[in-house]
Amino acid sequence: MNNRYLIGGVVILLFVAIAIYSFNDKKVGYSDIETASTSGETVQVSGIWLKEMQTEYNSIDNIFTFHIKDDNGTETKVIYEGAKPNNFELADKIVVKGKFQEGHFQASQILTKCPSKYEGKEEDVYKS
Amino acid sequence: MTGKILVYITLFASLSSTIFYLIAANKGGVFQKIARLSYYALTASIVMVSMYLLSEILSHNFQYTYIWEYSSKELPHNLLTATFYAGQEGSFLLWGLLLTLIGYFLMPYVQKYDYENYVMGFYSLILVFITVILALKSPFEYVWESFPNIPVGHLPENGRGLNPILQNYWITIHPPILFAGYSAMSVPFAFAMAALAKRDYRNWMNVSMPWLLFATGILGFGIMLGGFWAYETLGWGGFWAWDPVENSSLIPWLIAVALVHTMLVSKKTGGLLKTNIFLAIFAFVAVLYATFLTRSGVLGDSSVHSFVSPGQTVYNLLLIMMLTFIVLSTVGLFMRLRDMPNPKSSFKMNSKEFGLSIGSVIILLIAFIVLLGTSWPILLPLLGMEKSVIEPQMYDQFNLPLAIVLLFLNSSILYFNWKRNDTNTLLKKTFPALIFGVFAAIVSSFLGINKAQDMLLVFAAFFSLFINFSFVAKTISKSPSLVGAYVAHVGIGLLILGALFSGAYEVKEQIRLEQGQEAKFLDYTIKFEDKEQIERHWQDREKYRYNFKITKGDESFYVHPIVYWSDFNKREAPFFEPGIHTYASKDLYFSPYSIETKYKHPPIVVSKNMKTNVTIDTNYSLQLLKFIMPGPESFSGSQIKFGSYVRISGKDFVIEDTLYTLIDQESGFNIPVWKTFAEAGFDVGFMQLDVDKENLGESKAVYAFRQIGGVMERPYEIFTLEASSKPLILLVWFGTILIALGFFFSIYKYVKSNNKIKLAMKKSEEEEILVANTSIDATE
Repeated sequence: MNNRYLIGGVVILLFVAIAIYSFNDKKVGYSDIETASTSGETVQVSGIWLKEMQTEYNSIDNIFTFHIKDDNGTETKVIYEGAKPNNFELADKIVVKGKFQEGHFQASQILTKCPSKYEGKEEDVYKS
Repeated sequence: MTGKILVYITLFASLSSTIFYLIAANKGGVFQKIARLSYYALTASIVMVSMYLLSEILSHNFQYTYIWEYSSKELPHNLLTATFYAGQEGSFLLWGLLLTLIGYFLMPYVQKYDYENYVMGFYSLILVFITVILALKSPFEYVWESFPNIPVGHLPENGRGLNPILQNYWITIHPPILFAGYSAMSVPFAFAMAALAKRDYRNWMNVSMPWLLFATGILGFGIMLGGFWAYETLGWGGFWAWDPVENSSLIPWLIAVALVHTMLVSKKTGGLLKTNIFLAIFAFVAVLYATFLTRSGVLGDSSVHSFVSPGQTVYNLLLIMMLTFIVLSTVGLFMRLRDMPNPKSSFKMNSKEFGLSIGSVIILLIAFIVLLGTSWPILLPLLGMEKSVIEPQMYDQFNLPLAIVLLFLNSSILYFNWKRNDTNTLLKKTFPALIFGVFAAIVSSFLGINKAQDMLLVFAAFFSLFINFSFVAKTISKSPSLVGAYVAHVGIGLLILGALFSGAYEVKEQIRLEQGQEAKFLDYTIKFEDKEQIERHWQDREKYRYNFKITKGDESFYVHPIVYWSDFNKREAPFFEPGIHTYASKDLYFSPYSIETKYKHPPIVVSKNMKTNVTIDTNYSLQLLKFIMPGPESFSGSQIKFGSYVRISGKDFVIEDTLYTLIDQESGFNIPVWKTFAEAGFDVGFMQLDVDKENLGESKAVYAFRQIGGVMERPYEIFTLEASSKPLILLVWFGTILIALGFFFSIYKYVKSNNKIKLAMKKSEEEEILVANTSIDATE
């Protein structure tokens, strides 16, 4: 084994280690609403949009407000500084990234799980 | 039935081709003939499967669930054709079809180089897996098979149609090219496996190189087309978001690029034999991994792309396919590890081979970062840790320093000689480029580049561009077939510059405009003029082209963002497309955020007994006292006259009266019968009845107001959009095209040199490398 390969190997391993370390450091974990509201950490929460609750995009301040319910059935108001995502109404699931602040979830990012394919349902076969 | 039978024939043919090719590898003769026939049968049957599906799509046979789900009678021909691969089942078929066709051309090629049995054997094995998936997740399932309560033989009148976001020409271009890239990546893999089986660890590289270059070129092009689609039509704001879907296609491409370089080292020095076999396998496994990530639903929560869970079957099949090939190739590699020659190749630090190897390592590190980040949400739960995702900025942070080194290497190495160099001459040769790079970095700092690392990147990019340009200039007249590598390197330099400027130095601002209003963005004045409806012949949509006039000094032009309401989502929310104006130096990009419709004096919605202010004059209020159910006299033609009894109260008077609305039963439209309240000074119209079916008493009425005898006020729109200026984005597209072209140019070079290798095939290995050396590289 040549010394140079050894050095090279060490450098690569070091790089990999740094990558894993900083990935682990900067990661955003998944959580539910209840845990997120007590921990106050930046997390990713997924839930369904509550259509009947207030859903409003304020284009003057560029703030989008809506409500979600997670798998445990906990509900929360979400405030997102930004526009309503393009396919918000179509999404069957909403993933919000952010943290709890003053009683609501302050989102820094919204992922809308829009099926680019909309799974057909039985009743649709008749309708069409 | 026809479709399913054809799929089974395809499956059978691919199995037979695999088995007989692998038997033929030892026994030869008649088995090889059977194998070839099987492959021809496979080609014929998968072409027939595809033609059959296509013809059923074109003739709107919605009895097939797949066709019903993705297409509809309204689609124009090009989009209708594209629904072929709009869903999972069809895209597997497309993959299988392209694989088979590439294999059809591969067969005569490998025959020339005595590689047929193993290469085609392993290649067909891939097709076995694809056809198994097609058999189990068939595009030829009937609606009554998918949904238990549908009567057998039911033919839905129309299909559900294609998602409007996908309805543009990009869907006809991007997926086939990407799948062609994925398919072509199987060829180097089949060669590597054949090399292991044949114990031929060198020659396979020369023979498979043109295919590898083709695969890399076309895959890279396909990936970038996806980025352009996202930018141009989907309005994502950029061309790359480090999304799992994008990342997963980038990983095999990066590995393939590294492989191109390590193969070159191998040819010159005879080393890196194991590396090359490993990388060829790895690139293909990465393709399978990409398919697994994007088609199995495993990344459900981490991507803006949608992954509908395809069900356990596809998940399992994809996993089994990936694991099979990983196990097969790992076992093969380990079995041959001791048998492989271990050439003494201690590369000198200042040799070309060393530089190329380091460059490859860096490309692989980038691949590793992307792989690790993309797999992160899957990896952690596997290790028993909590699931989490990686912030996209992490990719930039890690790749930026790697890109700097890469650019430095892909240029300075060109001056290196194989084996050994004199450091002083190297310095002398790279000196002009160094000066040029420093100069460019200084200039860029005046143009707003303000971070040290970004300036380093600019320096490295211009350094690389300078050297690679001069190599292009030097070789293009002398030996044009050698120009590919330099062209690709120029492309990389431009791409990285474009990405840096358009990404890190874009300026963006949110703008909110009423029709007729103006707003400022940078030095531009943006005026929301009007809109016009386009594609009016479509019944299923309302699509508007907005006209925004942009003025700067004497110059003025229009951009046209698009707002698009579709039956696809019951017109609940609009789809948007950005408006873009392209300058040579930058793009002005206008991405719609929202469109609001407002009235100055909005109509009111009231339920019974509720007292509500009249919006046109708030001194008055309106109260709905009761609905008047239509009697026999209320029906005329298709219209029903429906009444409501209301009270209008002012400060000093109260009037009660009946207001009518005409409900057209055919169209569902309501026509108000306007009534004048002269004392109050306005007209009231009963616009609409909102029936509450569960509790009729809770039904609501909508009333609008106008000046006496006047026109009802039209709503006005407020458009919110993000305006951004993206410097040098053109370099991204231009760079990518050069990269792809570079790979294609290089194919020619290898095909040419391979002809010589073919002549030398019978000679000894040493001589062979010598021939390759002298014929390939004329630059030294």
